[in-house]
Parts: sequence; structure tokens; C-alpha cells
Amino acid sequence: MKRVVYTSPYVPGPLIAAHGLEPCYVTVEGGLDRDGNGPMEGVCTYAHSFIQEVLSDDACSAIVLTTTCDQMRRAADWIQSMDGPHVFLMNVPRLEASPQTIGLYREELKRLGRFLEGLGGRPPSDRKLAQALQMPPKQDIQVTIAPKQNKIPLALVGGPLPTQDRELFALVESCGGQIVLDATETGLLGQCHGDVPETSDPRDKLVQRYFVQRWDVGRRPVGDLYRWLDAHFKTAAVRGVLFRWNLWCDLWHGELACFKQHIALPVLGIEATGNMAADRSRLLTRIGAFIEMVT
Amino acid sequence: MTEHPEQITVKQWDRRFTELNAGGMTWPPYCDSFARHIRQGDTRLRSLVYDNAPAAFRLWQFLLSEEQRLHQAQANGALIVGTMKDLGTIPVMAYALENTVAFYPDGAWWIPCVMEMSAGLLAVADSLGVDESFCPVRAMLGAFVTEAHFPRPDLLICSTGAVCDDFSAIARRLPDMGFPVFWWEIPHRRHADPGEQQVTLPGARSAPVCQVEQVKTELDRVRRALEEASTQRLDKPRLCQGIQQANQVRAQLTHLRELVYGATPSPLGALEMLIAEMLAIHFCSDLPESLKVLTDLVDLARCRVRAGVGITDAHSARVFWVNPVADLRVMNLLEQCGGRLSGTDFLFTHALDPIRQDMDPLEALARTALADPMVGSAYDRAERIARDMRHWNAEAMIVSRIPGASHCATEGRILCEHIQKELGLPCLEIEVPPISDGMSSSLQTRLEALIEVVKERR
Repeated sequence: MKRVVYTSPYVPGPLIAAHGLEPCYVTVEGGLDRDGNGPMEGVCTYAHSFIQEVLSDDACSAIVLTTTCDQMRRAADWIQSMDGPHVFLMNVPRLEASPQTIGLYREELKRLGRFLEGLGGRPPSDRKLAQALQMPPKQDIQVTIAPKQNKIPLALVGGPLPTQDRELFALVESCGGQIVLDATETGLLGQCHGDVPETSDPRDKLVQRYFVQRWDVGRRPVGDLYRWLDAHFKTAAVRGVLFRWNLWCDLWHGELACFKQHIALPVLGIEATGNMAADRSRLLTRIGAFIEMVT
Repeated sequence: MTEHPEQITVKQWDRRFTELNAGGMTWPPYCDSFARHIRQGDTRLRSLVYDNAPAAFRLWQFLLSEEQRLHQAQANGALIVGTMKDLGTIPVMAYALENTVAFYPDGAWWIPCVMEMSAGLLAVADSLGVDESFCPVRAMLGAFVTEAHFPRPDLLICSTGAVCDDFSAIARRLPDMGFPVFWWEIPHRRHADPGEQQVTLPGARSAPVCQVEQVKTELDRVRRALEEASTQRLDKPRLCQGIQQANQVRAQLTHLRELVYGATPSPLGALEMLIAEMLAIHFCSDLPESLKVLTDLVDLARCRVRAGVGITDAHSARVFWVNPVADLRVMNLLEQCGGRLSGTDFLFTHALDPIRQDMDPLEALARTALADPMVGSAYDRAERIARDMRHWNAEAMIVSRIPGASHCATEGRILCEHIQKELGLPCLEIEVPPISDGMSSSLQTRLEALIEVVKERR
């Protein structure tokens, strides 16, 4: 079965599955030493890792990228320059959900469908698509974690978290804290928020789940993202927030100051270079100091 | 035109200005000595060299007086529209209205250079968490905070979608700072899929009809926002008139570019051409005057071409320049190293191409907006650059990276590879910060090396 790789929460995996292809949601492993060159100036470390990993994946038949950030938008050019697999660049509207932007997203789903047919996929019936929508969500990442005794509960917010960087959870625990809420783009922020209304047309459900009910720092205006996050922080009873961005990710980096203005909790900003081994000591020091402050 | 063209310093120009005044030359009211601007903080002017022609002086004074003119326009009751990111389309609509001035707050990115950091705009941006990992357009954020440069716009319009991340992150801060923004979306321009109807855009690009329709819908929203802010109708006849006015400016600029980039020696200098091209995007806040300034420059260039004289010598390396420089001084440096401009892509080629006048005006504007080189693939941009390089017989390309700009991270390599493959010409990628003095030796070495390569290949 042809594998279609993607990493954006706006890409509807069930649509790919319903076409008879294998949807492969990827959270990058991370680390930029595959080609021995380390980070590239100006290139988001997550996007860089993603490109390296998909280009070395022989089983990857196609990649679906989205225009949700300039880094991923231009990754399409980069992959083309390396004679990589087929790329579909999905135009995801940046303006808030409205009848017009919903219409645009629907049209992009149709266009994606045609691309999948070009790969050998078969256009699905409504029933098949509805069945695919019953599939469990793409991630098996635990978004909320039961708090441990004597650990300061914290939330983690930010861009997508490479697998290698999940070591952050252990680092935090070693400093006396615990991440009890993963609100990164690979965690809570990557999930559909709220219940998707039942509808006879499974495509409406796709639009709701994969476009309308999404929070995103790249949306304009940003909307009620912070009120929504705040509610989750209260539910999880967190006492501080680790705000993490991948190096050269301007959208998340630029959001840090706004976040601090809107959220009435102590916030620690962490920049991830894509090399956890190099970041480890620095992170331990800063997180340790932060937890002392929160305690 | 009687003087031999040469580049002179700011002191020499001020003496000349006094002499010309004494000789009875008349100037537009915004013209004054460079010394006045330097006293007001534009100290970088001391480090530049300028074309000695009165037409060039008028160009500079037009540029340097913009802030003052904007404040005056506001004091006179004009509607001030701040348009951001699209670089060339929205002002065409705004200038179709009466008593309305549109400008790009993005232009504040040059303030750190021109004022040699004394305005503190980058420091303000730093304090807001927007540090040097972002593009120098972060100075715009500082300018909004200090309100010490352009007047507070009555309406702010900003594009989102296929825009660079740093600009998006910076503009997003404005509503929280008390500057409401009207957002409109420009999609990533793509080629039509098989079976999709496509249209040709200015600059020989193409896009599917559905994308043009999408942008047209968005521009109609912008139109209604302008109507509401101005309490004027912005109907089709008015838009057509706006397009016609804009096309007059674009036609003069095209004429100027053909004269300058196609002639040997170059009749105008690189720095003046950069400023002149910038007039295309919002007419330096005065459309009729921008036309007069450009007409003067065209007349100057034409005279010099006829006389076979110019600012550079006949052997200068013909260089195609990609992206505007954060430090204006580097344009002088190119010439000092033995190069000259033979074509440019300063990020807004879509503001130079004529807007169609044989169709619905919003459709024409949508096609223009979609032709933005930054909205599509870097390969599309490279193709146009290659065409233009052939047209002007350029011998090399320089890609000037803007520090921190998200598009510069990967685009340069793609552009250089394409030009090397298609044209077999040497390419150089450099990075130019707002003040390049600390790296001027390194820049000079690299420019000189490229120019040596060009000359050896002849």
C-alpha cells in the first residue's frame, strides 16, 4: 500500500485511508546530524528534520505539506530540489473559520482527493469515508498525565515536539516538576477541540474536525486560543508553563510575549536547537531555576 | 543636462544645492538640504554617495520627506491607510479614493539603517520579544510603539496566508497594541492541476482560475473596508481610474529600467534605481508627484544614454540583484567594486508589471496580487529572474539575504542553482544587515571576487 506521509494536524488522515492508501502521520525523530551538518541558519529545526527524514524514507510514496507556515510551505521547494517523492502542498486558509474559508478548505480536500487518485487511490464512497473517520486519532500521545505527588504540575505549550525532545519530560521530573499537560502542536493543540457535530455528509465532519475546530498560532486573528488554553490549564491545575519553540520557528517564537501577556501563570520560554544532547545542560539549569521559583 | 555624471558626497550635494538655488533653479516644496535630514537623525546619508543630477536629488528628497508629508496629509484631513506585506496592490485601490494616502509601515525596516540605530526601533522590538532572529522589518513594530515616524494610520490592512512567518508574527502583535488590523488572505500560488482552467498573470506567471476568484473575493472585502473608512464609493469606474493612474507610474518605471539596465555605461546608479523602484509599491505617499519624479529620471537617463555617459564605466560587471538590501550603502559598494545593476527583483516585481485594464478591475488586481514573487514557489521566481537576466544581458546574479527572513533561508540556494543550470552564470549569496560597516571588508572581498570571475569569463 502506498504510504502518504504528513506531519500537519490539518491533513485529514481518514481521507487518505479512505482512498486505499496508507496515511502516515509523522512526528519527527529530531536531531540534525543525519548529514553531519547541524541546523541550517534560518531553517526551522522541525521542518529541517522532517525533510531529512522523509527524504531518507524509501517507503514514502508521497508527502502532504501545508501552507500553515512559511517554513513548511518552502519545504515543498526544497524537497523538489532534492528530487524527493511527490509533494502535495495543501493551501490551508490562515484566516479564521468562516463560510468562505471553510469553502476553500473543502475545495482543497477535493484537490487532495484528486492527488491521491493520481497515486493510485480510489475515490471513496461516503460510507467508506465515514468508516475511515471512525479510525482512532493519529496520535498515541498522552496529552494529560496523572499528576504525581510532590511534583510541581506544569504545562508544555508550543510547536511540534520531536520524539527525541520528549526527554524534556524526564528532565522536568528530575528538577521536581512534572508536565501534566502536553499542549504542543503534537499534543493537545494538534487535536480537534470540542465535539464534532454529527452530520450526514462525512466531508462536513472532515472539515469540522480538521479545519474548523483547530487552534493555531498562525491563524489571523488568533482568536480565543488563550481563553481555551487557560481553561485547560485550570482543569489540569498547572502552576507554570514551559513555552517551547523550535529554533527559527518565528510564529511560535513571536507568540511568547503575547502568551505571557494573556496567561496569568509563570512562563519559561525554551528554544530547542534540534540537538537535545547540546541543549540538555542548559535546559536543566533553566528548568530547575524555574521550578524553584514556582515552588 | 550639462554636467558630467558622477557620484558625489552629501556635503558636495549640499554645496551644489546652494549653487543651483542661487542660479535660480526651482524645486518642489519638499526639497531641502541633506544637512537638514542629517540633523533630524538620518545620519547614514553621510556614508552614501549620490548621483549629481538634480533629478536624482529630487528623488532623494521625495523619499526623505515622506514622513513629514504623511503627517501633513493627516493634518489636512486625509485618510491614512497603512497597508502591509502585499507590496503594491492595495495602494492602487486606496489611491483611487479622494483625499486618501496609503503607505507601507513595512518601510520602517530602513529606519535602523538610515538613522544608524539611533531611533532605537530594534531595541524596542527586542523588548517586545522580537529579537534579531526576526527580519529587520521588526523595526516596524518599534515604529508603531514610539509613534515617532509615520502617523497613526486610520486603517491598517495586512495580508496573511502565503507570507513570511516573521512578518506574520510581527503584524499579529499590532491588534494587541491597540492597532486593529483588517486581514485578508493571499493563497500560495500554484500551477493549475490537470483539468483546471488557468489564467496568465502579469510577469508571465500562471494560476488556476479558482485562486484568482479567491483573491478577487478577498480584495472585494478590502474594497468594502476602504469604502467604510473613507465614506466614499470605491466602485468599478473608480478602481479603473486607480489602475490607470498606477499604470502610468509603472510604465515610467518600466521605461526607466529598460533605459538603465540595458545601457552601457549605466546612466543611473544602483542606489538611485533601488529608491526609484520602491516608488512603485505605494508611490512614496504621493502618486502624482511620484510620476513627476520618475519622469524626470527617465529624461535624465535618456539624455545620458544618448550622450553615451553614465555613472559606471563601460567595463563594469553586469549584475542582476535579488532582494532589497537592509543597508543602502551596499548598493554604492557594488559599484565601488566594479559592478553595476543589470536587472533587479527587489521582492515586488508584481508592482512593476502593468495591471490589465481590459477586464473587471478587481479581477485585474487579483491577478496582480497573485503574481507576487513571494507568494509562489522559489522555482517560479527563479524562472522570471532567468528571463530578465537574458533580457538585460546580465553576467552574474547576487542574492542578498535579509537577516532572519524566513524565505531567505532556502530560497537563495534554489535561485542560484537554477541560474547556474539555465544560464551558466556565476551567482553569489550575501547577507546584508541594517548596518554593514562591521562586515564591509568581507562583503567587498566577496563582491570583488564575483566581479573578477565575471570579467575573466568575458
